Amino acid sequence: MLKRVLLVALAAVAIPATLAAQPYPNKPVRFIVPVAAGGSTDTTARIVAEAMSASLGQPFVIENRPGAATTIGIDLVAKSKPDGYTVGISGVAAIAIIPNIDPKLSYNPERDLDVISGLASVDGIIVAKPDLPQKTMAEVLEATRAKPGSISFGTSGIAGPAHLEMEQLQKLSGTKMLHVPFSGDVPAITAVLSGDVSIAVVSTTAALPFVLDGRLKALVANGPHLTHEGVARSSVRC
Amino acid sequence: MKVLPDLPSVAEQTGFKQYSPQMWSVLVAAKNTPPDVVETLNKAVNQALAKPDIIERFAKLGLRPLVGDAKTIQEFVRKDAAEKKKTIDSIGLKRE
Repeated sequence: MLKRVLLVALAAVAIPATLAAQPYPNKPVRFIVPVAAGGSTDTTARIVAEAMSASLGQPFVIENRPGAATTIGIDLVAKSKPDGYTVGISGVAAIAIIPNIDPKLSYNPERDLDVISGLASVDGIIVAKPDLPQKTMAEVLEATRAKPGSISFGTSGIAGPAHLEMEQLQKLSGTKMLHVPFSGDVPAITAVLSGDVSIAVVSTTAALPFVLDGRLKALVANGPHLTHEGVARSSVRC
Repeated sequence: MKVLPDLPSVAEQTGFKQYSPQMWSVLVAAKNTPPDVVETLNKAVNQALAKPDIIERFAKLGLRPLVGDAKTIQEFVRKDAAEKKKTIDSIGLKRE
């Protein structure tokens, strides 16, 4: 009996001390994903959240907060308490593009956000329907140089990374293509499949299933990736 | 990229070496998150990104781990944002 009383007394003393010293994280962490479930960003977040829940012993709970080209979700992170119990995944648009083109943006990345870690480098791809006469992006540029505006390209939205990249490529090549913005990579791909646009500039994550089953052909890898990885180069075979 | 290893990049195919698209994702939190919390989170992410099964799941999605301590990634983001600002200014892109 005495032993039990002692144990209880000891526990009563020990618990508050333990709580105070309990290291981060000692409760669940909100993991804000500023896009709808299902795309490349969402999948990245889910894979990482699962691993972090396991290694840090607290659930990292995914919360999808899509809207306004990912700035709604990132604004929520920026305005949360800086205690590590709200984190978020940000892509290029929310911290590297939109702050440069929207002076009225509700947060300032440098002032309001801490970058904690990298997550993923996303390989882009440019795809078309198999019946597009051009087999490579170089040929597409040739065609559009001969006939400006004859090629339309779908992206995940105005001022998204794909839009920015294509503007740059058109400037470099002295060509003019027609931009058709969609609300995400998947609608842009659907528009290629239905013939509404000629090509889609999207993440490989979204396009890969269609490339692998032959409904789309890959024109080019939209990135400097091969050079970086030193992978042997050869001709297009997709 | 790993999933389509024979597919050349735009720079390789067209010769425009200045064209360097960068798409990435990073983990963010509110400014002034305690340094020890940043450290804990950064370590946990980097450990996860080093796991073979995660590298494999990433590769199948056309994703590659973006690894580095917080300072390195902050510098990477700052540099790319500056790079993108140059492109935005040169083409006169505005939010519509």
